[in-house]
Parts: sequence; structure tokens; C-alpha cells
Amino acid sequence: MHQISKIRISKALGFGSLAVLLAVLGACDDESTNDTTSSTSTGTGGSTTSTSGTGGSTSGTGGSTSGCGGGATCTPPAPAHPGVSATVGVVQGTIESTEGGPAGNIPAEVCGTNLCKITTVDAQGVFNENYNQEDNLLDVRLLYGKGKHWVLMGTDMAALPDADFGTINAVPMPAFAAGVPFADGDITQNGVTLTLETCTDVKFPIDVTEPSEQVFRAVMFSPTDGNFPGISASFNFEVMVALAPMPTAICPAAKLTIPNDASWAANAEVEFLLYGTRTFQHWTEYGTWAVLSEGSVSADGNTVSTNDGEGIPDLGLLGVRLK
Amino acid sequence: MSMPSIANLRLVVGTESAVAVAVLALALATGCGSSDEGGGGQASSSSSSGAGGECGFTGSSACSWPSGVNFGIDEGKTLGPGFEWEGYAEGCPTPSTISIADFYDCDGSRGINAIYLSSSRFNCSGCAQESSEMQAKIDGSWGALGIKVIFAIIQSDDDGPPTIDDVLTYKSQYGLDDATLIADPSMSFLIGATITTPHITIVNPRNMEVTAVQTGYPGPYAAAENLAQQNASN
Repeated sequence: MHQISKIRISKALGFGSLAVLLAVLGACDDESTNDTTSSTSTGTGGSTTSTSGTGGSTSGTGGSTSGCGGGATCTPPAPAHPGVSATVGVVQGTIESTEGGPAGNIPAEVCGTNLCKITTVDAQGVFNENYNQEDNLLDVRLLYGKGKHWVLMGTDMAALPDADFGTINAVPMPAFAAGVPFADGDITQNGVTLTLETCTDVKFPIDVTEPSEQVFRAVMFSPTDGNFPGISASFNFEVMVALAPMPTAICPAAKLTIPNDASWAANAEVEFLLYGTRTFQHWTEYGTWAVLSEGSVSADGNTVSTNDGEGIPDLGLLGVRLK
Repeated sequence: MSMPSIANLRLVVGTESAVAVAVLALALATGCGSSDEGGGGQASSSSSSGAGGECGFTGSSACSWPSGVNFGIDEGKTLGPGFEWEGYAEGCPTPSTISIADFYDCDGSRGINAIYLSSSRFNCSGCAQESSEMQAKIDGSWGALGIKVIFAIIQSDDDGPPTIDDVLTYKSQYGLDDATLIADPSMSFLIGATITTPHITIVNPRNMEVTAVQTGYPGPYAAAENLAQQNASN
């Protein structure tokens, strides 16, 4: 069994002791973001575990905490966003679950890198908002799902200012109760395994504050399981993997191993791409796909893993394709 | 119509040691011009935290609320005195009732030169970016300029009405020690039928007039700074 070798406790920033604050900050270069920082913690949620050791996506020296030694530092490349400005008029469509039936009341919003507009989805999965072209949005996308009960997905809004998506699909996430606590070593949920080094920092999103929600969950699906306008066939994805909580920063990056559902040949080389939903401290441009890690199929052909020394530094929706 | 005088009554609690200090009662205000510092009959409350820092608001305006003006939340209008929320005053580890009147500084005696009010929520990328950099701005020039920052949290982390715990989560995670954060389920400052965030309202503390309204990150930082500099020089 795996165990959490080192758990650091942090109090809420600002009111806790300086020592604790420094301890939290020390392990990973993850200044405040839209994440709930922190280590399995008191107060307002979030947790961090840390590993001694090495490895991971980037190296560096961090603070020393509770015997974790120097933590890794993970500095996202923060590529510039395209910065395309647009206004939005009428946005409409229907969202259905890939398991059948409407994705009733699914969280949705029209969101750019500068601002977000809430999109109300009714119990039948229908949305129809008129934003009256009242604001300029940068790199606007329709985001839906949020990552708690549904996979957080996004899509371009090519037909602006008005966009009629027709019927699109959302993918349910496994129940929180089926989630697996983050811990050193392998954590497996729904057939998907993350391998966390000792003293890995796990930084949850700010809206994931309940310990019962701060668990690893995963779901795999095919791009052909529904109408996902954000997953263009041109990307050549054959397997999609959603990792929650999304987005969650993992430092150092975790090895990801998934079943070879695409039946790729043994030892075939693949790429793992992340859909960008962060607007700062990000690995991928907002609303685009970019390679997070390369990987390969195992020698026996049963699994697909990220390469050693690479891995997944940010949980979210991944597309996997042959290299 | 004569608007009510500002009569603040505030209990401010210190940090971890929970030192509750001064609750001063007050007299009715009488017109602009007299500073309430050290007297004047205005509500004045502050407490020193156990750590030596001040918590909450000091003093209150010596003036009656502006009258004979158009009240509203749009640019050019004057905020009414009735806005009140639960929240965390700047520097305070415990929640309290916060009024917009806490930021009224008709004569500059309280050192408030501009009010930067951002209606924000979880799951909003622009809000996150603004929030993540605001404490540094306060620590930098904004504190010295007398720009008071308020984050009005309009939704919970599950997109419902915000609770005081949500406010604390937001405050803590962005390290907003020196901003005031309030739970604003009524979305007091949002204009229009759709919810767009962040939504920033700049208010002149001399007369509580809305001088600028903007949606989106980055906010109208220059507008706040210019207002503060202008008020500081007058």
C-alpha cells in the first residue's frame, strides 16, 4: 500500500504563522493562483504532499519542510495567449450526457482570458443567452462541465458574435465517493494511474475545498463518443483522459499510465496533450491543446505511459494520439 | 431629501488572540469639514491586533451622506448609504458587518482616496488573475495612495449564494490580507441581465460618486490611481 510520507499543514494564508506560510511556499513555486493552495490542511481546503527526492518535470530547490527536503519547483511556461478580441451575442445549444439524457443544470460560461459570463443551462440541458455584444472578450471560449460532476471541456466560438452549438455532449465524472486520496506512489482510479513521487505538491483549484472532493478521479472516453466541438478530428486524438480535480497542479509532474484502449502497437510512441483552461501560470495557451508529455505503449501492449522525466504537471482534459 | 448621517458602530476584532477592542458610539454627524480623528463625535473604532497591526476601519466620516444626487451604481451616480454585507474587513481575521459607509471619507481625514470595488467569483479566470496580484498592488503604491480595495464575492465555490466561509476561502487563497472582502449574494454592483465578472466599480470616497465602471481584467487601475492622486493633492 502507499502512504503519504510527508504531509505539511498550512493555515490560511495571511493569518497563519509565518513559519507555516514559508513552509508551504517553499516546496513548489506556485504563487497564488486560482488554486486552493495548500497542504492537507486546516481551514480553507487544499492540500499538498511533498516528496523528497527528485525527478519530476523540473528541478530546483525549494523550502525544507517536515523532512521533505528541497522540493521541486514547477514553473509553467505561461505561453502567450492569442489575444483575439471578440464580442458575443446569442449563444445557444443543448448539452446532453454521453450516458444519455440531458446534462441538466451543468455549469457553463462564456469565458475569455479577461472576463467570464455565466451561461445558464436549464434542467433539459438547454442554454440560450443573449450577451448583446456588450463586452470585448479575449480568446473567448464556451466552457462547460467545471470538472466536478462533469468533465470540464471547452470549445471555440467560431461563428461569433452568435453561436449555435446545436446538441453537444458532456462526459460525467466518477462520483467523489469513488475518488482516491492523493498519496505518494501509485494512485489508481477507474483504471487510470498517477504515480506521485515522495513529497509531491498537489495544489487543488480554489473551488475544491472539501476534503471529500480533494480526491483523484479519472475517466477515459473516445472522441467519437459524442459531439465534442472542442475536440476536432484534425487533432487525431484516439483516447481522451479526464483527470480531476481539474485543474490541479502537480509538482513534480506525475507519471500517468492508462489502459491501451486504442489498441496501439507495443512500444508505439504517443503524445499527451492538455486543453488549456488556465489563463495564467499555465502550461497551455488558454483554449488550445498543447503537448504536455510524450509517452509510449508498454512492451506488452497493455498500457500507455508518459515518459520518465516528463509526466503530467496539471490535471485536466488530455487528448492522446500517436506521435 | 435629507439623507441620514453616518453613524458607524463597529466592532473590530484583532487577530488570532481575538482582542476585541474599541467600540465607540457616536454622535450624529453634522456636515462636512471636521475630522473625526480623535473626536468629533463620530464613530471610531479600531483595534490593534495581537500582532501589532491594525484591523478594520478607523474612524468614520464626519459628513452626512450626499443628498440631492442621483443614487445608483452606474458611472456618474452616487452610491446610496444602505449597502451592508457580511465580510472580512481589511486585516481582520474574523468576519463582521461591513457598510459602504465605512469607506466614506468626505474630507480626506481618513486617508481614503479611492475605492476599487471588484465583483468577483470563483471559476472566473479574470477574477483569479486580478485577485492574485492585488495584494502586491496594495503593498506597493496603492496602500500609500489610499486606495481601498473591496472584493465583493458574488457566488459560492459551487456557484450558489456565497457564504462567509467562501469569502474566507477567497481571501485566504489569494492572500488578500489588506483588502476587504464581502459576501454579496445580491450582486450589488452588477449591471444588466447577465453576470459578467470581474466587474469593477471605482468610487470617489469624497462624495461616493461612481467615477468608472469596467468589466474584465485588467481593471481600471489607472483610473483608481488618478482619482487617488487627485484626492490626495486636494
